[in-house]
Amino acid sequence: MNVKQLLYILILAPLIFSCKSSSEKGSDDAFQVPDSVANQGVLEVSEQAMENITENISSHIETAALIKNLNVPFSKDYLAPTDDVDQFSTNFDQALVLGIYGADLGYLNMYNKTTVSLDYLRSIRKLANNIKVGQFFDFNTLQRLAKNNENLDSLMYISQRNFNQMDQYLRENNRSNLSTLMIAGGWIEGLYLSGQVFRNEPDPELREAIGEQKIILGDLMILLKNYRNNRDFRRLIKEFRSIHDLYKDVTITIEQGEPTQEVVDGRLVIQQNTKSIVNISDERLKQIIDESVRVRNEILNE
Amino acid sequence: MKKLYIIILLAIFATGFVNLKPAQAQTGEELVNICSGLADDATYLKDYTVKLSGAAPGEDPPSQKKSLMLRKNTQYRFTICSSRDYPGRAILKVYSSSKLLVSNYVVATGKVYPSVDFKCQKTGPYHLWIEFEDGKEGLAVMVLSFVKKL
Repeated sequence: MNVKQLLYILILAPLIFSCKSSSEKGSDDAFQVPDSVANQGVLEVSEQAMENITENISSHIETAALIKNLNVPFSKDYLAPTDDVDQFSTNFDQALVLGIYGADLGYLNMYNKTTVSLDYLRSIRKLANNIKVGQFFDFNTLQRLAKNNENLDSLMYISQRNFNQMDQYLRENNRSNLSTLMIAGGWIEGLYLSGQVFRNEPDPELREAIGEQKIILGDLMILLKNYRNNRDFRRLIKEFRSIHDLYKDVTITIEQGEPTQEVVDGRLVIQQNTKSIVNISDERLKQIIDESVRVRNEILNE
Repeated sequence: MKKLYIIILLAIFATGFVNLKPAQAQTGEELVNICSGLADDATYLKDYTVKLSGAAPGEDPPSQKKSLMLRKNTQYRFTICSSRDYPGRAILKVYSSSKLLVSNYVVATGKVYPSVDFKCQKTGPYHLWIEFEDGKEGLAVMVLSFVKKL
């Protein structure tokens, strides 16, 4: 190799490598979305309204936190099984079950059950890959954190954020039908978990939490009905309507009050003094819990 | 030979030049990570990134609206981080039924807090507005975290 050749290599090599790196990035970003998962037809509710409604469906972390706050012991029996995840072969079922596992992962993380959570992480990765959002699920980092039982705050943060990113990506890429299914799956599992815990520990706060799901279910029904042209969605709407109907005589009253504010350790803290109060009979509560078990098990083919 | 050294030095310089990257601007993603860290011991729930252009003279400051569900008997933390690459400092306002409940900006003192805790007693939808002080251009991230059940 003469000096001239050496110089050409020195000058051209970085240019070649920088071009290669750029083209690789392009192929990562431009993966294909199968037609079967794209939204079908014109939506009755605008994308913006859909986004607002979606944001209005609270995180399953909060349900898990409520359960843990009651000092109720952890039970693996409450969780959805992960041993036969391959039975969910359509994008519809996969997105729905992904939501269910997401809620279970929140419950596991809240109780620091990292060993059990490994099964859920693997199943979530599989389902997320199937519906082409696996790139947002940082499985390797989550697995490492779970295996080493280290930095549980990071585990919670990354898993919750990954689910938010999957949801956001689906909504931004004309696949909000799958985002809706993930939300529906997470919601039914949250209600199921609350109901199972309530059966063993009939705490008034849990009773109220189940009753106030009336507000969230109302929003969720709007999201689901947006896709009623699809046969699978019609079937799911029918299942969720059976729960929705049971909530008809659950009432939520509001007691008005003025907020107060104080600074605690340099942080501004605002206390709301308007209160919501849920009125739900024992019989209705039992029916809602029973129906949530039926619908959730139907989704999981249990 | 001397000429050859000069050419090699020029080539090395050219290589370095090709690999030089412009100073990186702070991205929304970086802000989310920074902001989540600032939320201390609270558990991350959601984040919102807001980028707004500056208001023209005489115009109201542009704002972005989001909607979110908060639950009774829960203490939440709103942490707001403004990008260093833009002049605007973010101001958060949370409304319930058109009534202002929470803001990181205290009018009486003119102080802007980086985070504010909200002890929620009413389950329902809340409306979140983010704007930038004096209508300046800005990029900010708001992280909603769960502090504890009350």
